[in-house]
Amino acid sequence: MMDIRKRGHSFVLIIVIGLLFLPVSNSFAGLRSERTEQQLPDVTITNLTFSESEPKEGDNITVSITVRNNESRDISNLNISLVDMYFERNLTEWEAESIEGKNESTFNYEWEPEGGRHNITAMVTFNGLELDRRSEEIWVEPEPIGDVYSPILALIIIFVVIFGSVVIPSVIAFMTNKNSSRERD
Amino acid sequence: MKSIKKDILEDMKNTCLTISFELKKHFRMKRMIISFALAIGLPLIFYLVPKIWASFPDTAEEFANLNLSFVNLLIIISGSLFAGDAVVGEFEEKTGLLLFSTPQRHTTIFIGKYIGALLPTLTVVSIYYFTTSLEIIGIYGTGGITLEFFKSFFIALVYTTSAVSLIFFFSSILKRKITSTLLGFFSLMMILPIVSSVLQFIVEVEPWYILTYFEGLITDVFVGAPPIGGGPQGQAGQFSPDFYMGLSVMLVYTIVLFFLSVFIATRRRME
Repeated sequence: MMDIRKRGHSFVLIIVIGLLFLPVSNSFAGLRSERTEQQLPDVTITNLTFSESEPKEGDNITVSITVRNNESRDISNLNISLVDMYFERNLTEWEAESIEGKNESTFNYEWEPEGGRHNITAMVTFNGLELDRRSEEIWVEPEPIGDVYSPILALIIIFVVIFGSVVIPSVIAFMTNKNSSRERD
Repeated sequence: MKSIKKDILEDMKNTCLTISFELKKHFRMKRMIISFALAIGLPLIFYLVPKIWASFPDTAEEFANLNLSFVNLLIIISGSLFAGDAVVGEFEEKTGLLLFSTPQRHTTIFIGKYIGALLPTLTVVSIYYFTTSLEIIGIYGTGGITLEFFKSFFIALVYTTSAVSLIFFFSSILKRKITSTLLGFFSLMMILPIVSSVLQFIVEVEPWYILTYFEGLITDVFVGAPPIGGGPQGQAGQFSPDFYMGLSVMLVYTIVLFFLSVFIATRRRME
């Protein structure tokens, strides 16, 4: 009985010590994350625009991204990528770019989109860590599909075949009668 | 011996007789009234509900796309109503004993029955489009009726012929009216679309040989083909139905199944 009680006490003691150390360990983690945040450059995407607001499929659109360096020092080794989210496609990527302190750079991409709704997302990364992202949606009017004459032609073929099939038995009967009369001759 | 000209004229007369008999039968059984009421009532919902509680879409294309997305359903319902029991009914109810003993060629009977099922189904689709066009003119003016609207109408008619052929085929091979009608309805409504989806998304093969894969063409003409690779609603797909391929498949379904049905029905005997 005594042994069980002793064990129970030591178990409670371990938990209490653990709980006491928890805030200390959390504060260490906080320090670490603050340090990482401090090291990350302050860069933002200020603009993401399209040269046409109502483009049609097949049009060439220029996608412009403006990236601003909010720090006074120059920042290099920035990666800027452009992704078509709905279509799950990487459009382009600018690697190891540098922006001067308190300055901004504009990146242009010539894009020939497919018809439909697109979600274009620009992302700035530094050493694999995402600094900022911005998304814009755009509707690209699809190219008209097909023509009006083909279904009309298909309908004409169908009606000719169906109504024409009424004649087939008479023609077959005529041909067989002709052949049998020839055989008789 | 009868001349071929007389023979053809007689066959045509007999076919017309069967068509008129079939149309009268559909009228008497109130199938016409039900389907015509649906063809007027369904598009009216798309007009009255937004008029009372909400607003109409911005463009005539968007309105037509929304409204006509239900025309497939009407094609399937009216096709099953008119063609579901066309052949099998004669065998199940033994009315064929009277009909087949007439001097009329059996082929003309079945061709007449097919046309007798096809004509009212096409009329139902035309009424649906006519009602929709009146609504579009009422909301957006005559400019709302574009070439795309006519394109959609003609594709819907071609799709109707193929759907009727498929249901008529079931009617010629099955033994019971109810089985034939239900199989026709569910194959177009559920079975073929499920097979098509499984092939597209699991097997990753384009189901170009399945009729219902192309049913979306009726409304795709307004908004373009569904994009390959995804969309805002997460409709990721690797394939997009091609317009001309779709028309060809519908055409083949219509003609092949029509001839097969007539061939099987003429060789079928009363049990």
